[in-house]
This record gives sequence, C-alpha cells and structure tokens, in this order.
Amino acid sequence: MQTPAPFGYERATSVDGAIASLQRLGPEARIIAGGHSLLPMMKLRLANPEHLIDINDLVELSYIREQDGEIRIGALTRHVALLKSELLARHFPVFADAETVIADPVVRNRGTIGGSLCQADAAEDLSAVCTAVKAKVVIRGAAGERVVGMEDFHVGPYQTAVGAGDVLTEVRLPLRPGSGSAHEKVERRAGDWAIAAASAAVWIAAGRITDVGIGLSAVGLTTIHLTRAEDLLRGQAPSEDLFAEAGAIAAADCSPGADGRGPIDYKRHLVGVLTHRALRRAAARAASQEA
Amino acid sequence: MTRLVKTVTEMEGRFEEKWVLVEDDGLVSWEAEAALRHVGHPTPRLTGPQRVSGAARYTVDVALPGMLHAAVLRSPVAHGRVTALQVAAAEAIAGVRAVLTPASELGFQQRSGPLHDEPLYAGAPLAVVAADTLAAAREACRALAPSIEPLPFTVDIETAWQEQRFDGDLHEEARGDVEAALAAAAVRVELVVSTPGQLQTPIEPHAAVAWWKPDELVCFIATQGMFDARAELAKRFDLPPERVRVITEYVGGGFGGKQNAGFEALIAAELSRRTGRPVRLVLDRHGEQLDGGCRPATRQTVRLGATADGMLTAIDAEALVEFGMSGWRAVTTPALTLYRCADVRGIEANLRLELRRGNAFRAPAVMEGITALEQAIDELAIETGLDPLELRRRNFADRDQSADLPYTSNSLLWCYDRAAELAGWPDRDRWREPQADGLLRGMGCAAQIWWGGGGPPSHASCRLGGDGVAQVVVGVQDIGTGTLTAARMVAAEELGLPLDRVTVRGGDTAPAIYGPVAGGSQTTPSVMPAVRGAAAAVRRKLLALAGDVFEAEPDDLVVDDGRIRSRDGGLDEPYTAVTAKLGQASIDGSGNRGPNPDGYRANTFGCQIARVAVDPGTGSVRVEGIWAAHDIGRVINPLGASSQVEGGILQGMAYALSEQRVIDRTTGVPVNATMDDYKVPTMMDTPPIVVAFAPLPDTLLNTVGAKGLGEPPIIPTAAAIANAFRHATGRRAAALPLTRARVLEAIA
Repeated sequence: MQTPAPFGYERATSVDGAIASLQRLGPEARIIAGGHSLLPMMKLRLANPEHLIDINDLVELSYIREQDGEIRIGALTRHVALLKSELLARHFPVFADAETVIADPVVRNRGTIGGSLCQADAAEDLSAVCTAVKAKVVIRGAAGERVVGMEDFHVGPYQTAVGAGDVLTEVRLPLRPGSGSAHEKVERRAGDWAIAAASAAVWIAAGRITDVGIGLSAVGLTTIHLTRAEDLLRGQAPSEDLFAEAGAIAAADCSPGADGRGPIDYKRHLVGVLTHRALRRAAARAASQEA
Repeated sequence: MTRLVKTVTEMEGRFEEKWVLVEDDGLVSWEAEAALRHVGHPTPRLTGPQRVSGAARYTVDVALPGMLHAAVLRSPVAHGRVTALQVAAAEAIAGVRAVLTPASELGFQQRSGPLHDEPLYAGAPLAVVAADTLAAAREACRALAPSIEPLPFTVDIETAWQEQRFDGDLHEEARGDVEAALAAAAVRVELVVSTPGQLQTPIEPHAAVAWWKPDELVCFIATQGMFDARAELAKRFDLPPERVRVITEYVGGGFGGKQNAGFEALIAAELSRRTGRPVRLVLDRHGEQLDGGCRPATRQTVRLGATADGMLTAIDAEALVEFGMSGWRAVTTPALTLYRCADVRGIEANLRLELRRGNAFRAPAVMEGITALEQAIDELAIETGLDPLELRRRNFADRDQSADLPYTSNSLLWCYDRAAELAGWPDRDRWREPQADGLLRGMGCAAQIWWGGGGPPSHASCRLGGDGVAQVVVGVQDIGTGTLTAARMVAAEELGLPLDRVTVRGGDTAPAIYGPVAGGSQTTPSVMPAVRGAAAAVRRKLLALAGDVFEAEPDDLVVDDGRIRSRDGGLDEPYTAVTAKLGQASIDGSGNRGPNPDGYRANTFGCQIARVAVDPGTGSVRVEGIWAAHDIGRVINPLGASSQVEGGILQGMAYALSEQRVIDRTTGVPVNATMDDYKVPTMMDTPPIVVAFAPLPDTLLNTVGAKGLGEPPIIPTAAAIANAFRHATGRRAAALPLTRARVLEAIA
C-alpha cells in the first residue's frame, strides 16, 4: 500500500540517449531496468529519485555471447536468461546455482544483471558470483567507455564505480581452461535474501589450483572478496583439508552484523561451511570438465 | 413444529447451556453408505474465478462516493504517557475532516477506550485522523507529533513470572492425585518447551468502511462474524440491531484475528457519524503486524508418568502464557483430554506484559498445548522404547474424561493407522541411516484433539423460483474456506438439482438470517444442517405442488438431477414443469441447526506425520513431507477440505520453523512487524502434503454428519516436525521455531 513520491519518467531509445538524459537531469535521475530493487525502495521512500530513465526498450543490451575469449553479458539480460543459458552453464555453472535461489520466477523474469550489480546490495547474489569468476564490467559515460574489474567495482555500501552520469552496459567473464564454479546460499525461506552466500570459482591445471575467486554475500557492508583465502589456495592441490582451512579463513574475514537473519557467530559459522562447500563443488566441477 | 429447547453449545471449548429456537425438520443424518450426488465429491469453489481475476470485492476494495480515508497514529513505545498531541497542527492540514484523540468525546461506549493516553504496548492506537485522502490523513498523523514520557515495561516472560504479574487468577484443573502418581511411576519424563508468538498475518489486513446514514449504519467489515459485528455496533452506539447492516462479501483471511466489529469498524463508524461521510479505515501492513493480534508465546513444562509398557499414569502440564486472551485458558486442555489417564493436572498462568494482548488464532491455546504435550509423549516413547504411534494407541481415550461423557464419534485410531500407512511409518528408521547428501532425516508424529461440533443457533433460507433455480441465503460470510460452496452442494443434494441451479448468498446481515461467527471450527457443522433443512422444506413443498400438477401422491415422488420422478418410474418431468406455473411466486423454506445430542461431547481428532531433513552444517531444516489423517465426520467438499488441511499445515510448519514475533528487549518494540521480516512460508517452501479423512460421518451430531475443520489441521504439525527433528538428530530444541542458529546449538 506504499506509493512512491512523484517522479518524472522517460523511456530511453539508446544507451547514448540514456546517458544524455542522466547528464541533463542531474544526480537525482536514476536508470530503471527490472525495477525490483528500485521500486520497492521508492515505495518505502528510501529512494526518492526525481526522474526515472527506463532502459527496458534497449534490447541491444540483452545478450549472452562468447567473444574474444570472454563471455559477454548485456546489462539488461534478465535473471531468467542467466538461469537458462547453456553457454553459462557450460563455463560458469555458478550462475545457474545462484539464479535458482534468487527470489522467485516473477522477479527473475524482470530483474537484470546490470541492475543487480549497480544496486550493489551486500546481500545480493550476483555481485558475489561476479567477484568469484573475476568479471569485468563495461561502464559507459559521456567521456566514453571504461572497463573495471570487480575488485574496483564496489566502493561502499550500495555504491559502485558507476558514476552519476554513467550506464553499466556489459559484464565480461574471461574464459580460462580448467575452471569450475559454484554458489552456496542459505536463506530464511525460499527466495529470500541470503543469510549468507558464498560463490567460488577455481581454475585447475595439472592437479594444482592455478587461480581461485571467492565472493561472499550478506556478511559485510559490501560484497566481500576473500583475498586471503584465495592466496592460501593458489598453487595448492585441491583437498578437503585445504577447503576447510579456506572456510575457516572465510569465517574470520567476513564481517557480519547481528540481525533478524541470525547472530554473528552463526553467520561466521555459516560462511565457513558455505565457502568450504562452494570450493568443494567448484573443484569437483573443474575436475569433471578436465576429464 | 417450532420449539424453544435448551441445549449445550460450545465455542472453542467454552460450554454454555442456552435456549435455542428449533424447527423440527424431520431429517435424519445421511448414513455413511448414502449415495450422494454432490456431497463428498470434489467441487471447485463457487467464487474461485472472481477471487483470482480481481473481481471479488473485499472490504479493502470498497470505495463509496465522498469516502474519507482514516489513518492511525500508533505508540512507538511499549509503555508511556502521552503528554501532548499537536491536534491543531493536524487539523490545519488540508483535507483533514476529523481528528480523534483519547480526549475526544465518542459516540460509542467501550470499557477501555479505543485510543490510549497511556499506551501499554508498542503499536497501541493513540489517535485517528480522517481526511479526503490517505496521504493527508497520514500527514496529519505525523503532524500530531506526540510527546511521550516513557514508562517502565516488561516484555519477557521470565521477568513477568518472577514479578508474578498475573492477568487474572491461576487456572488449575485436575483429577486424581498427579504428584502421587508421578512419584509412583515406573517411567518419568519431564520436558520444558517454549513456543513463539505467532501473528495471523492475513493478506487482507483488518479493514472497515462505515457509512452513517440518517436511517441506517452500513458497515463493510473484514470480519469472521458479521452478526457479532452487528451486535457490537448496535450495542456500543446504542442502535437497534435492525438499523445496523454489516456487509462482508469476501474476507482475505482471518485465522481467528478478525472477530466482531473491532477497532476499525467502531472508529470508522464514529468518524462517519461525525463527518457525515463514508469512512474507510484499513490497517497498513505495519499496523496489522503490530496490532492485528497474535498467538501468545508460551513456556510450558510437561511431566509424564507411565508404566514400563507405556501406560500413562500421570500427566502434569504447566503453562506460562505471554499475555493471552482475557479469561481464556486452554493450553493445558489437551493434557486433560487427549489420553486416558486418571491422575492429571493442568495449571496455566497468564502473564501481563507490555505486549499486544493475544487474541484468537486458529486453534488458540490448544495448538500451543499440543506442541508441548506431544513432544513430551514422544520423549516417553523413547524412554519406554515403544513406537510413538503404538504408545498413543495404548493410551487412547474413548471418552471425554474431563466431562465424563462419550464422544459423538472418535476415529483417532483410524487416523493413526492411516497416517502411518500413507507415510511409510513402519520403515521410518531407514531415514536415519547415513544419507548420500549428508543430511539427517527423520520422521515424527503428533496427534490432535479439538472441539468443532458446532451447534445452534444457525439459520438458512431457500427460495425456489419459477425458473427452477434455488437461491439459498445463509447468515455467514465466506472467510476463504469455501463455506458458500459447501452450502451450495448441500442444498443441491437435498433439492436434487445440478450445482449450477443453486445460488448461495451470504456476507450480508440485511436478510436477517442468523449465522454464527466463523470460529471454533463451527461453521460447517452449524450452517450446513440449516441449509439442508431449508432445502428440505422447499423440496417437500415442491413435491406437494407436483402432486397437484401431476395428480400424484407426493410421497411417491422424488427429486433428482433437476427432475421430479415417481418411485415407480412412471413419471419423469423437469422441475420447471411445476415451477413454471409459479409465475412471479416462489417456494420458500427455512431451516435451522438442531440442538446438540444430550450427554455427548463432539470433538475432532487427527494425526500428522512429518519427515524432515536437517543440514548439520547450516542448521537448515526442511520439511520433506506431511501426511495428515483427520476425523472431521462427513467431508462435504473434499477439495475444499484438503485445501483447508494444507493451509493449516503450512501455518503449523511456519510455527515450527520460521514465524516468530521478535521483540527488542531493550525497547519493548517488535522488530519484525513487516512481511519482509516476518517469515510466512512461500509456495516454494511447501512440502508435499498428503491428506486423508476418516470415512465415518458423525450421524449423532447433526443432519449432515459433519464436524468442523478450520482448526484441526494446524494443531499437530509443529509437534510432528519437532518430533521428526528429534528422530533425525537425536536432540530436542528447547524452543520453537527451529531457527538455524538454534538447530546448530541443539545438535552441537
């Protein structure tokens, strides 16, 4: 029964047009894509943008394709497309893992990857997934395009490298051999925000972990990139003990708060378990891909 | 013949002897083997298309010309004194038409005023504003800017217990000598269990639209009892009841929390009286979760004594209740009735806290009691090494020991057997073997007892028009249970008409045909016999007229499938061959629920089995299946009945796993009074549910053989889940719901 404050609305017909509108309307203008985060925040008056620039007509931003050794995902690609993509399932099954437990079909039919990343809610799943698979994002503004790695993407709670006059247009996932990835999440009920979630990607060659990425949801002010656990794993042979040790580091390195989702000790425990499980499954998937 | 007879009526275990008007309809209850054409056959609900298409008009949808919108200012503190309200500032806001505060002189009488200058719980109404728009009303509420002097509060049961803050007296009911029996018992178990505060969380919040007209007060109310609402409005405003009309076309869930006229209708009526305009008062979600009511939290101790072979010799149940309903004590009732036992005691203390007082919530108190008792019985099964169902069978009570009366029917033993068969209970230990997915699995069971026999008064009318279509009017609203669909089936059965030639109307007090509040699982066993009686009266008149038309003996004629036939097969004419001759006239009949049988207690029974999977790493508990067998006498509509069971089980599962009113102890304020943070399960959390009903109509109870079903299915679910958790993990959590942190603590 909540209603948003009055706002202006326009439909963009091109990315450049959307950027021009953002520049023209100033910092109180917002891009709206799926709207499943922004609209509830507007209804609760947590967000009060003066203008919305609707980019849902920009079908050129909706794609998942392989190009130049990367998988490239248009920012307007819906959750449901990520869930059903065979290309992603083959190279990064972590996406299907996460999409299966993101909200419900109604949300997945509308919500987009670009919107999820730009919302940058610390409890959001895809930010952890993209952190784990070492994604890069393409940000376009008046001055042109730039490519930013996930390590530089989150600059604070709900804050990203996407500036006031910018539009995130694409997510790029570098393809490397021997990869496996997985997402583990526990929520209070089906479709909820995570109590905690862990995304892991490993790249294995000759029985050794050549690279690894781990991202955590909902246990800090932003998505957490577990660099210390990654350093431990890199160069090692995958094993249960090793993954358990990485889990212990994860439990130590996250910074959850106590809330209705659970007390701090429980969340740390959960992060340890989920990180361990995500690594185990990611490694098993890497091994089966090698075979 | 019309008579006034004295009969015992029951509502949620409160028995009352009263005079009721009875017209003897000469009907005998349909037998178990009766070949029925509609009753007992799955039938989609009458109003399904309207509900899913949005055409159904709920109270929140009512919009009248010139209607004002009301908003409520609520206490932000658990206890305080309002020292100032900026009334002038609120009244100055454009569009504001009326501001009510505790100082306002109201046009109705209520023992404790509806608006509080000393709020005793967070969310208590302090003031109300009516304005041209909801936005203006809300702005005016903000402008009231209450100054509140905080006062001390207690919101935890432990402190209240230590301070002996009782609400009313301790309630004790006993037979025999429980202490001596416990001391002498070969086997003893003691269990302390805490249960959560649970919110009804109807999708349609409490709502009313009132219109004070010169000659009539019309109120659209989201209520479970439109006649109770009418009586309350008439009494409070000192109006003749016939000058109050309550309309309740659809209700978006009540679960016990929407009784009478309530705060919303009284205030809306008062605002309408003052302004001369219709007034709409709909709780916002936060208001609903703060002030819609709740099932109060409890802490219970159950002690059992038994012989080595599991015969119960002592049951002692103690319950502390977090500010439950005034004067309502039934948490320990199941301990006194569910099992055969000579030495029994139940003690309940209702503790006064600065919390919203509990109100009725689907199987109020009894569900809380069963949740503790059935876990204790499970412990006794473990202690004696008996199969938990076998233990329950051995202690079967074939009569109500508290009242020392037999039951009208009791198929509990059938329920045990059927649930066990459906769930694969005999093999339950195989679920405890190591599982490939690393989860811990187990199965648990729990039994259920509840009243639900219904009773008089309940009336219905039936009118058959020239087109051969029957119109039934009942005095109840359909709160989503399919009551009107069941009424249609019963009338069609008795009239020998296809379903599409019977219409049913309810939800309006204007026809002055009385029906009871939808509570206590009494609607079906109270209303359906009245419907059958009304339809039978019409059938008899129709056949008498058919005798005139066809020159036949009415006793030789029967109705079936919209036709009038002679028993010898010589005559086979459509209804309309008679009714078309009526012109504008109609055949009218009325019916009523007869008295309850003397010397019996009418109760429902059931058993549910749950299977759970516990993740020992994360503490997640997933219910993988529920098998439910209930004895509710004759099932009128199996489709509606199974839906009712599924809904009850979901609410019971939520009580075990996720739903809990959480109070911040430092502020006394509920922290999860939103639907985002208050975890009602979704369809994706719903396990497969298998439902069975005992095939035995209660022919002693009433002329359709039905008992009620609103409450029974919610009662045993949480205990069955807790027992399954025990079976899976070998541990029992001291408190529900089984949150993940709590689970890990329990299995550590």
